[in-house]
Order: sequence, then structure tokens, then C-alpha cells
Amino acid sequence: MLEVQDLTVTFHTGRGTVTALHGVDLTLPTGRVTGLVGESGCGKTVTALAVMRLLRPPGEIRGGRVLLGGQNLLALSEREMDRVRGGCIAMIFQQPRASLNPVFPVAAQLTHVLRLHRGLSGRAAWAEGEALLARAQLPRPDRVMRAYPHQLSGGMCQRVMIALALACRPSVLLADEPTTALDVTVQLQIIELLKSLQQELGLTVLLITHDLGLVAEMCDFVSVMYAGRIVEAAPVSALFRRPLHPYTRGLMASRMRAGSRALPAGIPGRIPDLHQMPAGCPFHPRCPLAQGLCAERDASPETVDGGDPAASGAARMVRCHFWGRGVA
Amino acid sequence: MSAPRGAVATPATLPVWTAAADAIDLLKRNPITLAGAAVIVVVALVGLAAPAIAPYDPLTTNPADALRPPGAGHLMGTDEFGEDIWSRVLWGARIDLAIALGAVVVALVLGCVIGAVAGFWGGWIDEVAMRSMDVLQAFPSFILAMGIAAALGPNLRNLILAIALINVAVYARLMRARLLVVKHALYATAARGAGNPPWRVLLVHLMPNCLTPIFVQSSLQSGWAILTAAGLSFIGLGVRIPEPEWGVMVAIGVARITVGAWWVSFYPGLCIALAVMGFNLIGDGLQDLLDPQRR
Repeated sequence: MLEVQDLTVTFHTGRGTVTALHGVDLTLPTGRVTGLVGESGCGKTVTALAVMRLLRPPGEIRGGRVLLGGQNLLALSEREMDRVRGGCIAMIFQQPRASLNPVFPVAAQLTHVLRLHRGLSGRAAWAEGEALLARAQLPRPDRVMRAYPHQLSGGMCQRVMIALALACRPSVLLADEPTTALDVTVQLQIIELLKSLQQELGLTVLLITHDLGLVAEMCDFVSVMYAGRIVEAAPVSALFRRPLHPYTRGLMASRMRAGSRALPAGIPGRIPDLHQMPAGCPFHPRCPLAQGLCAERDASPETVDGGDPAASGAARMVRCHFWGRGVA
Repeated sequence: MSAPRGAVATPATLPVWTAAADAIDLLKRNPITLAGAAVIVVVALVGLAAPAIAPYDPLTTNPADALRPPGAGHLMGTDEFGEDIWSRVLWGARIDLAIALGAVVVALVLGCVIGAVAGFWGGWIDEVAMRSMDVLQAFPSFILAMGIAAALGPNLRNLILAIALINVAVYARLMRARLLVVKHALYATAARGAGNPPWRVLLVHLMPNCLTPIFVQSSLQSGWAILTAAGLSFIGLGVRIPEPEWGVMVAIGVARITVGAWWVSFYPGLCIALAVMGFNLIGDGLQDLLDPQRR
């Protein structure tokens, strides 16, 4: 179980310090897939990078805890953290080609990781590398081993990245929009691959995406993020059956739906500039339910069961003063 | 498509990685680089084989045979001490190539480390390192080399050091500039995320991505190092008479050109020109050879 508690991240910019994450709470149950959804720029990637402690200045973790097996990763030394990265938690990125080193063939990158974390070298590392590529369902692993990243397609690069991520047998995988840069057909293949590997290896996965269809397909739990805050968290079935937060409802309404002639409805307005955060709830300028109170103070997270029998007691969280209004 | 679900078709042209085959293939398509490489290979072979193929000892004087014009017995004639110029030119290949390689390697290693550390860590380290490079570059380079060579004393090792030192800044700047570009590449973050400590990200992942312009520069600098070495030796601050170094040999012959003994300076001068040209011609093709994406 990976638990993120009250994670706060700031960025120092020329125009002052902005808060990118406002006390984010996130729970990744072991062996399950948790989705993290939200618009671009709401802090999804920053969350993943902060968990890995890969934020670069001007980004800075200002508070909170990241607990992995009861150990607070934010309290570890850099050296201890180097063992956690890759070894316990691995991450794959949005642009698979850019995350591979362009001057080395795949083999060099795979065997390097295998030597680093598992002490394999020479023929053993090569064989293990080929096995990993085969596991990522790359055809002709022997040839892919000798290829440079630019000789591979985007989908193949992402498979190589998945092989690299799994090379050290991590228990947690952070997947930051793993399919966004790929063709639709390849997206499906990568998702199927991730799903089968997740089940086979019992991986704990954080899937960052803005694709609600993907969430429905893959995830067990979802957290919805807006402007650096988790505004709603729930089991997938419950969230899709009955979204509580007005922002989540807006996201749902903005989907294309099969069999429906209605045009998807957008959410008016845009996400707020981090330099000019509205007072109170950051969503209130765009919110159909907003009232005077919303502009005065932010709602605090509220645990509800929503009276939903399908959720069978699984707790869900919503962060809105007036979530009860307008819920079907 | 009969490909299994979840599989990706392999591109038909997924080349097998063989550096040697690539290099040969590239040279075939690039005759200018080939010519440059050929010149340097010949100079290197001649330098290596000099003891075996030189007909005379390069340092044996023979006053009776002084200032013989090129002809039978002495292919390139003899100088005022009666030394065989052909033999000295062959031995000179060895010394001048050693100077070029030595100076470039020392400058490259020093410059790359300084530039990489400055670019990677930034802040005051960057300031100190790069302002030191400014100081080095504030002097006209030949004058600085003269000063260093004069201060250290004229011999082969100090000549190499002097030429290397005036070039450190060139490599440091190139390395730093490239590193600033690649430092925020996603693969660096990915490497960090795979558990590499920062120094290893720099050494193993970032620096190899900065080397192409460095090597291109090195090939040009090698030619330039030979020129500088010859220049310093010519004015007496490098290798000294009677060592068979091309610059020294030109210096020996200068006074005799007016009396018609052109061959004493001409042949070593020609060798300098050929070697410098060879290195310069390699430079361009090297870029194609070193960048995997341009093969």
C-alpha cells in the first residue's frame, strides 16, 4: 500500500511562490489500479514526481508524507531513495521515445538497470533483458535489444519503457499518461499489456490520465484532481454511477457517449492560474452549484457512503459544500 | 493483419548494430571524410613504422653530406648537418601525431569535466568554472601558449601541456552548452527514476549525449595542435633542435631557402599542411558517424 498524506508542493517562480499541490491525500491499495484524473495542469504529474522525489527546483515538497510499507519516503536520504526508485517504485512517462536515451541501444539501457538493481551482468543480463522485452510482447526481442530508440515506433518504445520499469521487479508502478502520445490502436494494446502485467505481477498501479474511458476500463479506484487538490475519491463503479462533486459531474458530461446524439457539454471557463487562485473553493468560478460560501472558504474533505449499495461500504470522499444538491 | 493481438509489426529495416560496418559504409558515401581519414591513417602508420622504414638514423649528422638536394640516396635531400630529411620526416610523423593526440586528449578530458560539472550543478560552481575559462580565453592563444611553454621550459611534455591548456576553455564551453540543453531531457529524469544517483546520470546518460560536437571539434583541434606545436618549435619554445619535429625542421631550413636549399623546409612544411588538412577533412564526416540518428 502506498499512501500519500497531505502532500504540499510549491514552485518558486519569478512572479512569486505558487502552490501546485494543496495537501493531496491519495491511497493506492496493494495490487489494485488507482486512477488519477483531471485537466492538464492540475498537478497529476507533479504528484507522481513528488512521490518519486524527482521534482527539480524550482519545485519543492513543502510538507506531507509518502508512506510505502509504513516507511516515509520523504524522510529517506538521497542514497536510500535511489534504492527505492526503480527498485520499489518505477515510473513510465507520457513520451516514451523521449524517456529513452537516444545514443544507446535498448540493450545497453536494459542491462544497465539490471546491473544496478539486480547485480546481473554479461550474458545473464542480456538473457534477462530479452526475456523482459518478450514479456512486454515485443516481437523479435533479440533485434529490439540491438536497436536504437529512434529505430522503434512509439508503441515499441513504450513497451521498452515498460520492460525497463519492470526490470527491477518494483511493487508500485506510476504510469503518467502512458498512452497519450500513441495512436489509438496502439493505446489499446499498451493498456491490455499493462492490465495483464498488473494482474500477473500483482502490481500496485497509479494510472494518471485524463481519459475517463481508460479509467473505467482499467481502474479499481479513482481520485479526481482539480487545481492541486483531490476533490473526489471513490471506487470506479460508484464514481461512474453517481459522481458527487460538481467538477466530476462536469467531466462526465464532457465525454462522448456511444448511442447518444447529445453533444458533450464542456465545463465553462478554464482552470485557474496558479498565481491568481480564487479565494475559497478553487472551482467556484466555474461551478453551477456555487454560492456565497464557496468564495469564502474551501470545503474540507467529507467522507460519505452515498447510500450506494454497489459501493458496499467502500468509503468515498468528496470535497464540496453543496455536493448533495443536484445529485441524481 | 494476422499479427497476434498486442504485437507490433517489426519494421523491415531494423538494422543490426555493428559499429565497424556502419563506419565503413559511411566512409564510402563520404569521399571527403575518407580522404581525410586516409591521410591520417597513413601518417599514423608511417609514425609507427618509422624505425623500420627510415633509411637513416634521424639524428646522425654527416657534415660531408650537408645540403644535398633531393635525389638518389637521399629522397628529400639533407639539411645543413647532413641529416637525411626523408628519415626525419618519417620520425616527425611520430612526434607530431603524439603532440596532437596528447594535447587534444588532455584538453578534452579537462574541458569536458569542467564544462559538465559547471553545466550540471550550476550556481556558484558554474560561475567559478566559466569565469576561469574567460580568463584563459582573454589572452591571444598563441601568446598564452608561448608564455606557458616558456614558463614550464621547452620540452615535448610541456609543449603538449601548453597546447592543451589553451584549448581547455573550448571544450568546457561546448560541453556546458550541450549539457544545458540535454540536462532536462525526459530520459535524464527517467534514469534518475530508475535509481541512478546524480553523478551517474551525468556520467552515463548525459555526457555521452554531448560528445558529438566535442569529437568534431577534436578533429579540428588536432590539426590546429600540430600547427601550434610547429609554431612554438619554430620559435624555439617547443621541441628543440635537433629533434625530428616538423616545425623544428622548417626552422632549420628557413635560413637556407634564400641560397636555394628549398627542400630543407619544404618537405616538413608539406607534411604539416597534409596532416592538418587530413584532420580538418575528418571533422564533417565524424558528425554523421557519431550520431546514431544520422547513420
